[in-house]
Parts: sequence; structure tokens; C-alpha cells
Amino acid sequence: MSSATVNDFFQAITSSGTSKDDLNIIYDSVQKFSEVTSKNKDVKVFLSNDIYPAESKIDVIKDIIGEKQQAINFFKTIIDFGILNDLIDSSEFFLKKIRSILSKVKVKVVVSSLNQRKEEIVRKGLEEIWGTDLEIDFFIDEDIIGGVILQVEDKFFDGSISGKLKQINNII
Amino acid sequence: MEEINTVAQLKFASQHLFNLICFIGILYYFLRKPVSVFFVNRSKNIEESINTAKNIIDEAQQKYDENSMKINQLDNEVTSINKSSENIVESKIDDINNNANSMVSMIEKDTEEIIKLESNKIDSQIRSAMIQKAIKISENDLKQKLTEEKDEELIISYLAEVKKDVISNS
Repeated sequence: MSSATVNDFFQAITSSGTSKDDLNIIYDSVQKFSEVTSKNKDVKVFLSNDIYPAESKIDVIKDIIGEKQQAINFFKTIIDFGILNDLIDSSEFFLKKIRSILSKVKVKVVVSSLNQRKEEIVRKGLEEIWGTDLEIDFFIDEDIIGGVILQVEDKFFDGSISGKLKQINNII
Repeated sequence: MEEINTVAQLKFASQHLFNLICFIGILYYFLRKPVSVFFVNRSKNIEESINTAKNIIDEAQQKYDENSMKINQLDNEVTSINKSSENIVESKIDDINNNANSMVSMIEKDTEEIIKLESNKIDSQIRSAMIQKAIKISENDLKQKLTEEKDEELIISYLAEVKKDVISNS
């Protein structure tokens, strides 16, 4: 992927006066698009192939993301910039870029077990650190025994019991 | 009669003696030169033969001396070759012995090193196995003893730790 082209594209988005609400809509659409293209190989192949016209691709994208005009315009611009394949292959990179524009933080939380109370505790704790604009995904992994593992964008925090035991093992 | 016979006999004898003397004189006269020439030549031939034989003997002696000198030289060379080959063999044997000794000492050192390394390896393996076992026991123990409340406390305390870390880094 040409980072210059992608950076130009995001500069175009931020300087075009796109509102935060519009960006949120675009973010949700890209998430939906990413889910579908990662699961459905036929759609991915169709959108990746240059022999199909842009209009047909936009129709398929509309079927995926809905009729929200801001999101459709975004994808039209993506096709105009010739970076649709980059978006399909590296959707997380695009989502991260949009999150950084929105000052949104994505947090992946891994716990050994989950209930309402624990979820609230974690959410509250995370909001105290990174603010309220968080996108939190909870995962359960019994192998961590207890505690919590956090992945905040690119940073990794291991507060699990299995992690502590691994640390002890490495030290010894 | 007897006197007549004696005179006749003396006469006869003197005639024959005279004849003999004449014959010898003639012989001497005619044969003196050729016989002396013959004997001179004969003595010359014998002398030449003796000289030739002497020369042959001298040459043979010379060749014999040369050959015996060469044989002596060859003997000396053979002796020196034998000595040098003995020296070479001895030095080779010494080299082989030295090499063998150094190899043996190297093998000894290597073996000691290997034994040390292996024993260290086994030590660390045993230690690691013990640690793994202890960790496994701790894991099982923690799994059994960890209640939801304790897990929540753990999460709260870790989040506080992360908060401190993030604030100090920012």
C-alpha cells in the first residue's frame, strides 16, 4: 500500500469539513465492510477485481453498509483514489486512522470469566484512563486463570495470573 | 798291431775333432748374428710384454682403488642415509607420540567440559522441571482458590497500576 496515497486520502477527509458524526457513520460502515469482506470470499474477489465497473462495486457496497450517503461518498472517494484493495487487505489500518481522527480508542479486554459487575468495573477503570470514547471488546479465556489482559490500540498490558506466572518462570 | 790301431784311432779322432771345430766355427760364424738378433728381439718382446702386463696391473690397481673408493663412499652414504632415516623415524615417532598425547589431553579436556555442560544442562532441566511443576501446582491452587471477588480486586488493582503507568508516561 502506498502510504503517501493513504495519507493524502485521510488529509482530504479531514480537510473537507467532515463532521464527527459523519466520521462515526463512516467508521461503522468500514467496520461492517471489513467484517463482510473478511468472511465472504466472493464479495472480496469481486471488489478486488479491477475488471468490474466502479458503479457495480458501489451497489455491492451499498448492500453491505446501507444507504447512508456519507459512507457511500467515502467509499466512492476510496475507489477514486484507487485504494479499495488496500482497504480490503488492511481494513484495521484504515479503522485505526479514523479512530485517531475521532480520538477514539479501541480496547481489547481478555478476562477469565465475565459478568455484568466485572464488565462495569473494567469499563469504569478504562474510562478513567483513556476517556469515555472507547470501543471495548470483551473476550473470555479461562487459561489466563484470573486478572485481565488489555490491548489498547498497539499497546499490550498483561495483568493476568498466567502472565505473572510466566514472568516468574522467566525470571527464575 | 795294437799300437797301429791306437794311432789310427787318434788320427781318426783328431780328424773328427777338427771337423767338429770347423763345423762349430762355421756355425758360429753364420749363426752368431741372427741368434743374437733373435734373442735381443725375444728379450725386447718379453720386456714389452712385461711392461704391458705392468701397465695392465697398474690400470687394474687404479680401477680397483677408484672402485674401492666409490664403494667406501657408497658405504658412507648408505650409513648416513640409514642414520638420517633412523633420525627421521625417531622424530616421526616423537611427533606421533606428542600428537597422540596432545590429542589425549584435548579429549580429556573436552570430555571434562562436556560432562560439566551436561551436568549443568541436567541441573537446569531438573530446576526447570521443578519450576514448571511448582507453577502448575500454583496454577491449580489459584484456579481453585480464586473467587469472583478476588478476581475483581485483582482487575481493579491492575487497572490502577496501568493508570499510574499511563499517567507517568504521558
